[in-house]
Amino acid sequence: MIRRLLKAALPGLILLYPSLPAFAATCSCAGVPVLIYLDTSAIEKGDFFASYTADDHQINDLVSGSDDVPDETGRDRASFSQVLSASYAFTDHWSVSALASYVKHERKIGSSSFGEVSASGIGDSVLLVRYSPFYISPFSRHELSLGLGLRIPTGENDIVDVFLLSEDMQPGTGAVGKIGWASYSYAFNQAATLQAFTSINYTHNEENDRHYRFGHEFNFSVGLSQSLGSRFGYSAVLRYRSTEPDRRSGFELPNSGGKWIDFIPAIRYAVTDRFGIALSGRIPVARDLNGVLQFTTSYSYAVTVSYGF
Amino acid sequence: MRTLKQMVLVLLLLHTVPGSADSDEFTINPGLNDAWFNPATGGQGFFITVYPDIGQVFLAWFTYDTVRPPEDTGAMLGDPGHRWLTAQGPYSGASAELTVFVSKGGIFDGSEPAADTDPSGDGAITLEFADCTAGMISYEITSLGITGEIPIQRVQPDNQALCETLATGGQLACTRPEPDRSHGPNNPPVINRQIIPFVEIVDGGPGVDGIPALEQPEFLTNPTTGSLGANDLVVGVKIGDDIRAYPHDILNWHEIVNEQFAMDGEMRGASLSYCPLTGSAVMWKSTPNSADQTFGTSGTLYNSNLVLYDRETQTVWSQMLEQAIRGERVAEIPEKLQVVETSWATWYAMYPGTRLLSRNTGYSRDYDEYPYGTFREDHSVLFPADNQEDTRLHRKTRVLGLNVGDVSRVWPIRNFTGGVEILNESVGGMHVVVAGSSELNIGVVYNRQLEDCTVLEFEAVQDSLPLVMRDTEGNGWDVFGQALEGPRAGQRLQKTNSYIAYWYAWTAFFHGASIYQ
Repeated sequence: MIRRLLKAALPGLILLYPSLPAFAATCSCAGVPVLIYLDTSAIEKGDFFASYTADDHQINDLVSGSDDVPDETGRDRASFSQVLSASYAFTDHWSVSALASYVKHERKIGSSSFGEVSASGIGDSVLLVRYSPFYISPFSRHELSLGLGLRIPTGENDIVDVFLLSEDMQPGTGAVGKIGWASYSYAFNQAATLQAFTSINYTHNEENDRHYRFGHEFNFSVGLSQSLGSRFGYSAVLRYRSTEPDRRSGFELPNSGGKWIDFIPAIRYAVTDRFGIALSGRIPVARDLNGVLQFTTSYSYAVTVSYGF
Repeated sequence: MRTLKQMVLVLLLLHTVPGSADSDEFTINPGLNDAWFNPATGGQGFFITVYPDIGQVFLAWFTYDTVRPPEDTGAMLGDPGHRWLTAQGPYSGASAELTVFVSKGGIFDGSEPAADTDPSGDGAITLEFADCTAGMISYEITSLGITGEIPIQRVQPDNQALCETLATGGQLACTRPEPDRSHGPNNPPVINRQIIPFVEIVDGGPGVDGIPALEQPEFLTNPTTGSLGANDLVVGVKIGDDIRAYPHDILNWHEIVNEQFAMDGEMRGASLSYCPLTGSAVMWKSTPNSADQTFGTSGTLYNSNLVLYDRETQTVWSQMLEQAIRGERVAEIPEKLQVVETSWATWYAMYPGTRLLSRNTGYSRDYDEYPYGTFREDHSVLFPADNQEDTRLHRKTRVLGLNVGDVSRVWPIRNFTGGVEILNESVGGMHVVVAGSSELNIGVVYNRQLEDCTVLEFEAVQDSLPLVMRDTEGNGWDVFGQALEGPRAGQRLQKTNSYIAYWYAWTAFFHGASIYQ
């Protein structure tokens, strides 16, 4: 149980990473507003894991392509997400994972005396069915999981704060996303205290009722995790993320989408055999964004608590 | 003999109509358009119509035959003795000389057999008015050899006041349409301090002031032709001797420039706004005596067009409607200033002494980059906009648009000839002159009816920029609608509700615009 518990806090195995809203410093603005963490820990029959994550996502870096640009407007943009996630294994090979979220967005222009905007509400949900033909055990050092799922538009996407807020300020996307996912882990020793892992996922987004479609998204991660003793562990992940430009009414929006490489370190502690806590962060390493100017992630950090039954 | 009769008539009228103005001072005007009759001959009468633009009077006379037809004479409709005559001719002062016409051979509401009218006429009518209430008709029917005089008065006095107003001083008062009103509905309903449903105003993403306006920025005082690309577009402003050019390359990133100009004998604030999504530029004077005369970007869009806010009251204003749409000053219309959008080469050729907005704005923006990708050329519309099914033109066609009340017309810049093309047109009852050139990349439209109601006719002037047109009085006018030479030198043509914008944006705001082909 504790091995799974520690793994539950590994950001490297987070299925759907917090999406990076991309904001143009111009009229055109688009972003992916929902932060999603999905617990994918349950693999062996009868496993049931639940987790709660609180994420603080600061989005204040102004970037032109790969270059940082000073922001004289003093923009302050942040998203705060709370995510409840659970996974359950029906058999030794089949499991399901589900996620629900609550999202708050804040936006303020420091150089302006007006216009501090905040919006919050229930965000989108995710349901994923997963098949694991083999997994790490005393008899195997390999683990493979394949999954298909849906992002369900349970979140609000028509919040008004004087005016109808832009898509990136809405808690929900308002549209279904179709998810494909796969991960592989390798244990360097029989106790599986040191693992290497990789994961890949793709989300195909549909258009919402505002005729807005967030760009399709691809993620690829590689990382290492190690347990230090029976309670402590850490991990380090490099993640490549690519999103297509968003579209409205079929037209591509400038200054949206791009490519990112992030470093995601995490430490975790198993308080008991069933209860664990983890702290993770996300630090941009490189990025190449579409268009000529976008606001993007400065950093983010999250605290996750997990419980296994 | 007619002269003597007219003198007698005038004397009679002056004598018989107490309180009326002297005949010499009265001028026939459209306020006389009415039904007139002689109370002594009931069942007969006249309709009189004055056409001031062509200086003509039309008269229809409903009367009877000179003798009653035999009792057994029949008629399918009406009395067999019914007769009507028409008369038409020029007027001058208080009198009009009309030729009488007799039409015959036609049939009720039918084209066959065709009616026939002898164009040489059948006599003459002299129409004399003493004032707005009474006149005298003197007739002579050639074929019958009869003459006579009929004193007439109005059937109803409804138009008398209009007549008296128009007749002041023997000259017509000005009735030209006033264009300087909102592009939007007149007297729009204000609900919850807004005239646009809030759901139609959308958040563009950057937030209030997220696109930073420029505040009294630096200018290059001696730019050269090479300071910008020859085809780079600029918004040109000329206020007195203060001539400034604002490149689109900079406006794309800031959208608003808050400025100060010497106007009306004092320094006044003015804000130039340019929306890169709709390609429209307008300039407004600030409100006098306001504590903060500047505008900022609201971060919202209406019909994909910039929505500004004034920093004093936080009222939000639609750029293309040129009207406050929400807040304390809702429905207010700003006082507008003329701008000219054109290429740098054309602007510099017209005004080599211009100042040019500096790229040293204090913001880290790459002004060589256009921030919206292929938006200027493709069919995309990035934010909701109305009436996008109107695809008579490519969405990004730059059009000069004019709105007069409920009537709208556009002139695609590319449809103008290469040299200066001048069009004398009437739109929504307003006489306008359009000056455009596809090669010079200019398009402006002004009211060509002057304050004294003179309607000017223009023709193009080539190769004399900034002079672009000359009128029949010999005045030469520049691209800002100012007479630079001639008897009206110094005068300005009246600004209209017009500016250049992308077609998709114009049709989103002003449905059903006619298009100059």
